[in-house]
Amino acid sequence: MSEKSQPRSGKEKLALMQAEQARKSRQTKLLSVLAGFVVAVLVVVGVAWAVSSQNKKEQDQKAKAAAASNKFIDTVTSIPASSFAAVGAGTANGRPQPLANPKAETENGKPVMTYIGAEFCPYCGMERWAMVAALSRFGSFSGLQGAVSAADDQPANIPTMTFLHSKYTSKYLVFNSYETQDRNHNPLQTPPKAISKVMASVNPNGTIPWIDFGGKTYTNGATYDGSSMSNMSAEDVAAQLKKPSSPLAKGILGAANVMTAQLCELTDGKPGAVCKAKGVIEAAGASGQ
Amino acid sequence: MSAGSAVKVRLKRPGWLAPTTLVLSVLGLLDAAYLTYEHYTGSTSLACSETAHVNCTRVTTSQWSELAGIPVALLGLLFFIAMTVLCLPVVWRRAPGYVQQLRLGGAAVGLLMVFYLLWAEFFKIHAICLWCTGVHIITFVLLIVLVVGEIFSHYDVDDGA
Repeated sequence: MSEKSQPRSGKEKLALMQAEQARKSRQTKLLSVLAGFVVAVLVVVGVAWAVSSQNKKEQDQKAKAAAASNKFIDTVTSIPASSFAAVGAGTANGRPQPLANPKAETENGKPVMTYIGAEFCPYCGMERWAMVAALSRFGSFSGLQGAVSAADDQPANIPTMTFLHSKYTSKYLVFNSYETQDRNHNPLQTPPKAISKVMASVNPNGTIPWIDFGGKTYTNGATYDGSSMSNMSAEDVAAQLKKPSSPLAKGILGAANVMTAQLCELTDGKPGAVCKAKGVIEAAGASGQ
Repeated sequence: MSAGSAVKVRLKRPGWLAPTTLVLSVLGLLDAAYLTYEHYTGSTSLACSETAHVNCTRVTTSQWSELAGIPVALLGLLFFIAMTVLCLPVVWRRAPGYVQQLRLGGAAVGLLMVFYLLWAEFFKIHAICLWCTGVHIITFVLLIVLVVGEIFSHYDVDDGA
C-alpha cells in the first residue's frame, strides 16, 4: 500500500475502521433481506406448482367420473325437431369446403360420411356433440359411450362421447369413424389409406377433427366454439341442449343443422321431414349450400 | 485531509459482476432467440421432452404465448438484447450511474414478467416449457446477481494526499 493511501492519524484510522465496519454490517443486513426474498420466491413458486398440480388432478378425476355416465347420450340422440328449428344456423362457424378432387364415396350404394379424430382432442369432443345430433336424424347409434378429452390439452376436459365402440345404422347413409388415439395419446384405430390420402390432400398438417362428406366436401376442426364446455359435466351440457336459447345449444344444434344440410345434399333430400325442416333450410342458406 | 488536496471518489464494483452479468445475459439472449425462432416457425422443430407436466409446444403455441399481440418470446429476446448491451464490460466501466438503475429496473420488470408467465403455465396451460424455464431462471439469477453486486459495491475515497 502506498504511503499516500495510509491514514495520517489515529483518529482518521479509527474513522475509516468504523466506516468499514458499518459498511460490512449494512452488507450483511442487505444480504439477509435478499436471501429472504430468494427463499420467499422459491417457496411461492413451489406452492403455486403444488396447488396447480392438485387442481389439475382433481379436475381430471371429476371429469373421468362424470364421463363414466352415459345417461346424457339419450338427450343428444333425440333432440326435438322444434329445438333444431328454433336454432337454425345458430353460432356455427365452420362450413363444409369442397374437396379439390371430389370423388363420390359410397358403400352399398349409400353415401359415406367419414370422421377422423381422437379421444384426447378437445375439438373432436366438441364436434361429436353436433355429429351425433345430426346423424341421429338419419339413423341410430348403439354403443356410444361417455368420454372426456385430455386434461392437459386446451381447452381441458371437454365432456363428450366416443365413437370407438359405436355402431351406426341408417337407410340413407354410412358413417365411418376413426378414433386414432385414446385420451392418453395411445394409438387406437387407423383410417384406411384411401381416406387418409384424401385427408392429406386438403389437410397436410393432419388437423383433427376432420370430416369428409361423401368425398365431396370436408370440414377441418370444430365447427362451433364449445370452449365453455371445459370442465363441465356432460349432464350440464345436455341440460343446455334442452334450451335452444342457451349458448351451447346455439353452437351444437347450429353446427348439427349445417351438417344435416350437407348430409341432405348426399341423400338427395331424404328423409324429407329432416331435409325440409326449417332449421336445416336456414342453415343451408346461411352456409350457401 | 489537507486543504487544497484533490479528493477523488470512485465507485468500486466487485470484479465478478461484469463478466457474470454478461454471461447470464448472453445465455438468456440465446435461449430467447431460439424460442422466438420457434414461435415464428410454428414450433415444429422445438427440441423438448414431452411428459405429463412438460410440453413446450403446448406452452409456446398457447394463447398465453402472446401479450397484446406481441410474442412473449420476442419480448424476452428484446429484453436480453438490452441487458447484454447494458452488461458489456465497457458499459460497466464507463457508463454513468443511472445505467445501473436501468439494469436493476429492467431485471425487476423481467422478474414480474416471469411471475406472470409462471402463473399462465401453472394455472392456465397446465404444462411447463423447459426452454422458457431456462429464461425464467436466468432472469431471476440475473436480478439477484445485480442486487448482490450493488450490495458489494462501495465508494473508495482517494484524497490525493
